[in-house]
Amino acid sequence: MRRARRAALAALVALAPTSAHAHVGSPDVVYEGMAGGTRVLVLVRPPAVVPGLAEVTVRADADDVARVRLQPLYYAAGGGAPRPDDAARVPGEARLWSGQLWLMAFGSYSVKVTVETARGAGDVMVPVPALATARRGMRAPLAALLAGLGLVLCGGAVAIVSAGVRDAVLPPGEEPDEVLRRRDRRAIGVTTIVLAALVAIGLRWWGKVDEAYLRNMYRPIGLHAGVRAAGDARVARFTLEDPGWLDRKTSDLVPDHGKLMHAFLVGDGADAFAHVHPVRVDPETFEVRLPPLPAARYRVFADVVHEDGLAETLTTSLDLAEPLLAPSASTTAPAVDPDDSWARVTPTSATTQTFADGGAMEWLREPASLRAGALASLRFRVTAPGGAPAVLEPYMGMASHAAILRDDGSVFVHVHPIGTVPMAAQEAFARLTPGAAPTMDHSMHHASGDVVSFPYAFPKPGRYRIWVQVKCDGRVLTGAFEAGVL
Amino acid sequence: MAPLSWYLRSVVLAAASITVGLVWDISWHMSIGRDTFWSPPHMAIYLGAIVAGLASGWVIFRTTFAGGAAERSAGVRVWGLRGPLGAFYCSWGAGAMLTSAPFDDWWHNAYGLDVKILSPPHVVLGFGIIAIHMGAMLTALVEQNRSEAAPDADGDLHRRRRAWRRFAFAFSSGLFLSIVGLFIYEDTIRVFMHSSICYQVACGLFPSLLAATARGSRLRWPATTAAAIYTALGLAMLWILPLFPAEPKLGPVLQPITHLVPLEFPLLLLPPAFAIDLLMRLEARLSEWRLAAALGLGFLVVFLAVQWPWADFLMSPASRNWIFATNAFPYYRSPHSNGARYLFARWDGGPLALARGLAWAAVFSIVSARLGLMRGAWMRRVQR
Repeated sequence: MRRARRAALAALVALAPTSAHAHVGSPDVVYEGMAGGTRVLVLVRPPAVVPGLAEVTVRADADDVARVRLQPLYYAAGGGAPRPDDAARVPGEARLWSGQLWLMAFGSYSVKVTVETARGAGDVMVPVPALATARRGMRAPLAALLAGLGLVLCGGAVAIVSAGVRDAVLPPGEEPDEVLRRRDRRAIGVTTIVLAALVAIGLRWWGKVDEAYLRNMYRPIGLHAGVRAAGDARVARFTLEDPGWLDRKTSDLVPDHGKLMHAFLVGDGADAFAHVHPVRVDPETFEVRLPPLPAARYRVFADVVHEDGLAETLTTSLDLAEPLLAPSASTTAPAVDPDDSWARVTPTSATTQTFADGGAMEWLREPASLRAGALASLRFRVTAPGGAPAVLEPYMGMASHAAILRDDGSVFVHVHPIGTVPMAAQEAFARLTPGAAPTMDHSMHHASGDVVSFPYAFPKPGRYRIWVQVKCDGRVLTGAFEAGVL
Repeated sequence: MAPLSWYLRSVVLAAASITVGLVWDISWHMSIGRDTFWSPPHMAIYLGAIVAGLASGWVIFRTTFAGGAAERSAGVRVWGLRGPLGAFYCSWGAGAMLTSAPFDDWWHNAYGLDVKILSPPHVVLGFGIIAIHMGAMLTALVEQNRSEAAPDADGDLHRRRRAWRRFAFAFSSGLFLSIVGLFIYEDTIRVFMHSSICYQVACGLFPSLLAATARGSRLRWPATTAAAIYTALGLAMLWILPLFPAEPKLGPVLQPITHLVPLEFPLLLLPPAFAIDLLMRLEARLSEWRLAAALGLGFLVVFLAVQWPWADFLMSPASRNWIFATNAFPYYRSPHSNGARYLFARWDGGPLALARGLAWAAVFSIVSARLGLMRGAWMRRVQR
């Protein structure tokens, strides 16, 4: 399994993605939930090329699992899915199962994982985007081999046509006369020209396929940010710009946990962090009243979900030190959203982050180092001022939220205890299935008292920062940690 | 002594294995969708390539290095090697088919699994397949021509051998017709049978093969025989494939599939092939271009006259049974598509565009027939 994971990771790195995609730089989908009475942790590695193979790994926390089945559901097909495949037990691992699924079309897919145990069966739906995110060039050795073989074949073709014109029409033993030799030379000339034309046409055809593929490659919606003054408030304005990608629209966004957009602002230098929820003022514009963030340049990551379950993370930067946008006619500002939160917190390289009021958040780290590609459970314990275990309240329907950012900005994910999947995407697929169970209330799902946990697989080695947000006593607490991944 | 040499039997069987394998593979992709390199239809195709390549390589090797002067002088020269021309075609074909494999593998990894039959790597494979079929035809041809030229030594035995060899050539031609039919399959399905595209591609290719066969063969009804082989193979696959259970392993599944989906009912090539055989009786009296015009126009007119009304029958409820299998669709065929709703596509804008399209088909047909006659004339003279 580890070998396969490393191989898959090596392949991902070799493919050198040329554009960002949902959950910037972190294409793997992680989901933790209950399949019937069994807790499962699902990791889906989508293909970088569509149609392509998705690798699915399932960890089922039970010892009586008889069978694990996997099925790809394509949203636009409205249900016509092939029969589920059986996942295979990973040799040497008691609770790990793995399988592969073909994702045949671009867009929103869901992987249905069914776990059958002695106690019964249950399933979970894991939304997976099927996007072409990489363009693989042909490596030099293969190109040289094919070019070499091609030359031999072309040369051989000319020689064979020549033999056919010159020798083949003669009775055995006779030699060709001048007439035949002339015909032979003409045939060689014509064949060479025809072959050259065929090769030229073939290369042009290849070029066209390549262009079409590049056109289909996923391009996220573009985001522009600016700030305007509205009285004594600062309002951030985000404008969407669709570069055009297949039939993706900007007009079909659906709320995820009641919000059309979740925006994260991370200050360069990483001391300031904000989690705000811009509201839509017109089809292409979102606005939010900014909390009192210090003047700095901020990286902005905005999560949105489309009606069919496809989730996108839009990125831009916002400079709060710059002069504000020209004052607009409107001096109104959107109301403050009580779910918006922000903090000035320096990520700690220790395991405990203390808060100003005396409370603390402790990262319950495993002794083993974090490894790229490996499924990890990030667990945090929150203590109230005074040392007693904190009593956590749901924050936007979840026990906790986390944001993970790699130093260079090439990886950003917004994770919940259920994993990297947006609830709105799961709801989209649930709508397709008549009589599906209503979406569960995940509020205190993965919190056991004062501990929250997030499943995640870091896509590549490097230095990361993790911000963890919980709600306690009506206030949002944000802890920040540094993490090195090998 | 066997009527056909071991070599001829090997390459003809290899060509047949490739043809059957290709039809099977397309059916597999329409029904199951997912396959690996080692799927049974792929094995049938590559088995044909390996048998043809090894047998031909052996013959060339033996002729060049171990053959006597007589044997060597009975072969052609290519790059210092000697052997029958057909053997070189088959070796080249096997080489091209094997070269296409890594190219195709890279193509799938770079651009995804193919959604259409034709892609650049598949075209390389196609040329290889064509070369092997031509090699089989040429081998049969040489044996046929030598047979005709030999003095009537063994009486009955000789006559039987001659008949087998003539048939072997027509059989190889029929396989070749089937292969070409597969390459243009996507443009000649039912929905396009009232559009000019179907007739343009058919007229661009079939007259060439039929004219070449008609001229090169010593049978009385060569084009008809080849077309009969094409039809028999098409019908056999149409009736046998659906006997095997299959279900889609790829989504989205838009049609219910329980058995292998066959390719469509073969094109009605028998009547136009028969017309070509009849018109070839005028060979001695017409110049090459006039003969080509007669063959080309004859093919188009007869083909149009039979295929167009037949298409209406294929769209009607009367054809939705196991005999004509018009109720079988690939798993990916949308229920909203023309095909699934038994409607013809509107390829041409209207009757005028259709007429223009058919006029072009006539031009293609005549040029195709002319090229076929040239090739047929050459084939008639091939002795090595």
